[in-house]
Amino acid sequence: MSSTKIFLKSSDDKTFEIDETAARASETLKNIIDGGCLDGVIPLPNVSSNILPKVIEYCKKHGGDNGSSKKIANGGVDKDKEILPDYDEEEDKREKVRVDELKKWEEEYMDFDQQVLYDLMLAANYLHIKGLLDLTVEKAASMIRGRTPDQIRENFNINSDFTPEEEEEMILIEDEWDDEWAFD
Amino acid sequence: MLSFNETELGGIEDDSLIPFGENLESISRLLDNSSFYGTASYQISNALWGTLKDLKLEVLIGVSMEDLFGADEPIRSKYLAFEIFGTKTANPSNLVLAVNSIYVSGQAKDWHKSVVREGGDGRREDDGASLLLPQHKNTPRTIILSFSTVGFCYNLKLVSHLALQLREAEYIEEGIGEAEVLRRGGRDRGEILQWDCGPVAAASLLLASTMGDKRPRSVSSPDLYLDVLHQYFSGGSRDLQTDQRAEEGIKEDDGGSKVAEMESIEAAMECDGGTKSGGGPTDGDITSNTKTDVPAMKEVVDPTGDFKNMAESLSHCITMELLEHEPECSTDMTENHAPLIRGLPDDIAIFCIARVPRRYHMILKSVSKRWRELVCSEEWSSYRKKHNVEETWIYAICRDKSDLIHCYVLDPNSSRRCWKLVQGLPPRCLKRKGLASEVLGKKLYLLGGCSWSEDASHDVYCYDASKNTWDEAASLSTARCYFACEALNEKLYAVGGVTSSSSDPCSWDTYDPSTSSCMTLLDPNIFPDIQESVVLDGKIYIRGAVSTMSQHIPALVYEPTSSEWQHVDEDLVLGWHGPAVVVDSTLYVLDQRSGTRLMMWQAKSRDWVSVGRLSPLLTRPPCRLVAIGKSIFVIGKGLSTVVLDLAKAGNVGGVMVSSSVPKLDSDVDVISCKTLSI
Repeated sequence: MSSTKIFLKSSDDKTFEIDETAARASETLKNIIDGGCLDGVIPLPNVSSNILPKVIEYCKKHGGDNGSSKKIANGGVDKDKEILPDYDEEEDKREKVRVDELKKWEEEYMDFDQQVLYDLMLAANYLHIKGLLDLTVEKAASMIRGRTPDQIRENFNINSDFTPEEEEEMILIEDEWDDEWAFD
Repeated sequence: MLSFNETELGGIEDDSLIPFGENLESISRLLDNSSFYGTASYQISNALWGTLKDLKLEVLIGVSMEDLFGADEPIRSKYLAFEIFGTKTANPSNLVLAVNSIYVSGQAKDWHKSVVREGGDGRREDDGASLLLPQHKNTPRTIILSFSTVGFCYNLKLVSHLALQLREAEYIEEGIGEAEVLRRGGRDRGEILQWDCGPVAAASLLLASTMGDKRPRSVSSPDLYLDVLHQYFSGGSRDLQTDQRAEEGIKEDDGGSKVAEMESIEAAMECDGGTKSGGGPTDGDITSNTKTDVPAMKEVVDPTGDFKNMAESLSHCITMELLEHEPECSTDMTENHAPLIRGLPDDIAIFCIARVPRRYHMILKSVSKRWRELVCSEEWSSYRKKHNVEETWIYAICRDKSDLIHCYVLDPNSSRRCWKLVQGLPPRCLKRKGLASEVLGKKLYLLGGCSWSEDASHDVYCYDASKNTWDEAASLSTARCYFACEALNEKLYAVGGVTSSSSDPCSWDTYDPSTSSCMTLLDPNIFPDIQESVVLDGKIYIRGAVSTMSQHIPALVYEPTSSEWQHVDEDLVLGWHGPAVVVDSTLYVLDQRSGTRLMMWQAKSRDWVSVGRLSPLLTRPPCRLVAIGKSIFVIGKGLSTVVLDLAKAGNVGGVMVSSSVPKLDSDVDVISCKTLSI
């Protein structure tokens, strides 16, 4: 099963290969596969060739991961052991290592510029890859929270359309609300 | 052949702008009459088309995928369905239809090649889709079923009889037959293309096909349309011929109509192909969504005019709207078109912004007008609720040493928990006594009360937590002070208390802020002196003062189903000493008669048990209670706050383990505490 290859075609007509198990990380692809109408290449006209490999990379890491992170890193080898209660403590430790590893991987994975972030977000949304969507959306949210309005505008290239009077008024309100809360 | 009323193509009629939801009745009728769930694709659409036809609808019909399949229903394979918007115009042959969200799957391989090429079979196409249908002689080049998005159907002026043609063409036999399916790119469900005439719709479709693989994330530049349109119309004459041929075909032989129709479609396809090979202007700034230079589309387009004129008109009438996912979000869209985040569809942008914790929302409001509108909107709080990111803050109404009312707020999730003063309390209620407070939605209401100058007041003030503003609200129908107030079923209930001399003290008011209406009802059971109240199991419980004359404690329960006040069983009332709160449908009471002890009402065995004592070092009675999740907040003098997590309530030596929030420097008395979630 895991050896079944699926081919995805990007919007600019480049074809990429992905394992079926990995592809199942995407609800959209999963539906296509389960629909039984797989017909060679799946065209993804909303995903370009510079984003698709990034998506595939994520799917590979999270393929077959539907809630239980245990399965991924284990590669299925230790699955039987997990059932045994004796291994609980060991399992916990290993689980922790795995989570740390995954976090590190995510950190490296998420190192890209804003346009890629947007594209990846849209691709994740389009392909219904919840984990990736969460990851990307979270990154965008981190560019908002704890920032001043000016920083937010700069981060997202937003022009303030407030009049100077309104701006002043808002600064007063902000002061009232004070920094203690918003920027801790 | 059905004739087409050309004037229909012209400008917009405002009545075509009917919000989704107003015609739910017709939708449900529509849904009742056809069984599309789980059936094969063509049957689905056939039934729908047929029903549409039979209904001869006078009004806009909106059917969203949620209506069809339920919001959480997974998309099953082997069916095809449409999101449909339609309206019947004055001319009965003109049924205006728009199709959105074509869901393709399973056996839909027989769809036109373009589906396979562009959409892939088995794919859920939920980001807007369109059908390009054969042209008709008098319909100037366009017979479009176009897409809209959830919620509003904007200015859709579409040609009618195509629905009928659809039923009779190859469409049925082949799933979708020769209809060309084109999609817009990107996750742009939140977008609406606003148009008022056929050619624009045609242009947008053609644009979609021209863009080919380089689909724009958001189609925004009128220039792009014009370019595409130019290419389209440069090959227009051939189409016209085909149309005539088609018409002849029909005249000759009814059975041949299909063939003729097909040819016409083919011609349209060829035209598509032509535009494609010609190469669309794909390198433009297609992601930016600047519309500032495009005036609102109120121009009438003459569909028969030459290209130049049309192009000119089009530059006025094409406008692109960004619309939030929720239909209600569109209320302000006419005012402000800027996207929330440039380069992202609004629904994704909201997804990002809504994750920002509530304590930053004040900051978000200062980013831009659009952001401020968003954060202040009702949709914002409902969106956060829907996506489980809402946060609950506690609002405390206090009285200081000089008898002035203050409102404080606590964010229990903040790393540095502290009470903050909420500014701007209306001066008129500052000196009130015996006022009540309650929360509905994202608003905190202060009701009634009395002052030196008046016995009891009708006044209601309300604080909008997202706007951070105080306003006057509709008055109570009975002036009250020292009464009980609870929220139940989106309404406020003001019960008992001291009323003005002319009113009956055995009365209660239902107050509905959504309609600004208040109604006074009488019940002889109601007593004026209410000390505590709580909502448990969807019923309001009130408890009166202990009388010196007898042991009896008056207590009533209000059943909303029967609208009656009944006496509460003695066993419950006996243990109800002090403020009450409900956690997980269980009633807790803080008994402050000697020390502070948390009691729990066990409904099954019908008795009160002690949960534990609170350290006298932390609590400063008299206290009020509120609950968030499984935590009970015990808030006392000076807003000293003790948090008890019932999920991990440790009990060391009879004293409960808790955390605390620093109290204020001044010793204010807590009148009431309420929670409010955004």
